[in-house]
Amino acid sequence: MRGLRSRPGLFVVLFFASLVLVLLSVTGALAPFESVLSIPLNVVQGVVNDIVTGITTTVEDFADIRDLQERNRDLERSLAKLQAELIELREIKHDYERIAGLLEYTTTVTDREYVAANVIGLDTSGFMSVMYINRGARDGIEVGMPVVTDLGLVGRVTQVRAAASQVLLINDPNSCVSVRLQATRTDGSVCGQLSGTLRMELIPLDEELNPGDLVVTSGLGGKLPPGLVIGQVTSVRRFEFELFQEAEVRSLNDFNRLEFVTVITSFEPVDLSGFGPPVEETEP
Amino acid sequence: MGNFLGLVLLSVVAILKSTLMPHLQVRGGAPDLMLMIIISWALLAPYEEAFTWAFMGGIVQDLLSGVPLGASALGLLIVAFVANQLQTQLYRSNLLIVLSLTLAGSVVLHVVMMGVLAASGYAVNWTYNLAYVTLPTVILNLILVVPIFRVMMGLYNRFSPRIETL
Repeated sequence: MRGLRSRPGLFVVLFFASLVLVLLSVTGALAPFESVLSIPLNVVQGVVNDIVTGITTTVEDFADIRDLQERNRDLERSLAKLQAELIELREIKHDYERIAGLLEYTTTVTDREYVAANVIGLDTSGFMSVMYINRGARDGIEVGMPVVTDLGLVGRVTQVRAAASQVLLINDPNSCVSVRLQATRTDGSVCGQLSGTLRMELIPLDEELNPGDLVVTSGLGGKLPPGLVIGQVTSVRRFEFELFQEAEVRSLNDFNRLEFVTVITSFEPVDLSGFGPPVEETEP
Repeated sequence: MGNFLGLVLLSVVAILKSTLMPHLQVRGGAPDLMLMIIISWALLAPYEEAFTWAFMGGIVQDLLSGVPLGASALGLLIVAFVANQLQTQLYRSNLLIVLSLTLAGSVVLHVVMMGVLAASGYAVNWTYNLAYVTLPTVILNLILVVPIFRVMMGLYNRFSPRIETL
């Protein structure tokens, strides 16, 4: 006890306590403890976040009014273009339904179930693109579930506590998503960059890409359902001496200003790592 | 000021850090309120309070962050220890000491947190993070630490007044 009464003694005790906590936290042994402790903090965090978001949104809206007017004009132009496309796509849908009915085609996509959530916080370390939502294990949230908005994929649930969950955003450098270009059906992989942007990689050189192409999840790997919107190609980087070309992708979501998201609770991620290399079965 | 009031204050700071501070980001960095408060308190208060606050503040902050529990506490304890050592050897309210500690403390805290993240398997780009996250954080902290130190000094004198002997 004498050690605790001296300056170095107390420092050493607390330092080693922190080290032990880090080790236990990394192994996941502290998850229940962290879950219970974070409940009151998450509740207050949610309330404060609502107030802060309200204030900052109002201030930013006033500051950005010129940008908003210009953006509004752009959006109106885009809307007109998309409405024209929608009419065309409805025609295609009718054709598809008629043909699918004729072939007695049964779709494998089941209805999705969603849980709506408020964003209650962002990562404080600055080293990760992570956010927190006010739904957790008691709302049926599980690790691996996709988190989306009406504008597309936001990320995946990486940690679940009783009343809150941690979501790794798709623009985190540790996040890679199997994707497909909607128009050409070309597969690739969209990875987060350190600057917080998205880059589509592993695109074969002979594929033609254009700014504006829509990127959606491919479902390959079993971690995410297919067809979730990731964003649009903004620029393409292509060199003949490289094996693949790359494209910068802009998500329609502004990850720093998200207020509400939905978690797809009906999707169960598949772990394909358990499968070994293919082995040909020989007859005895 | 007691440790209970300290815990309340540090919890409020951690919540503000996860809600308000992301809106004040410059590049990847944001003001580190928790670090500035711990440095200020370590320069003003007895070592028992300083170390306890650093430990509690780190834990509360980690509960609202993506880093493993205890990572911030490790970094903040080192910073608090150095600051508290200087308290007895140098004039505590010398602003040059406050600024130097903030500069060094911001870097030490980030290096410790990145080290813990790297050790736990998270891919960390040290050069980029130091330039993109740590450098802006250091600059913002240096701008804000003096007024925060003044506020903490006022709080200390209010709750823990001492009789200065000549």
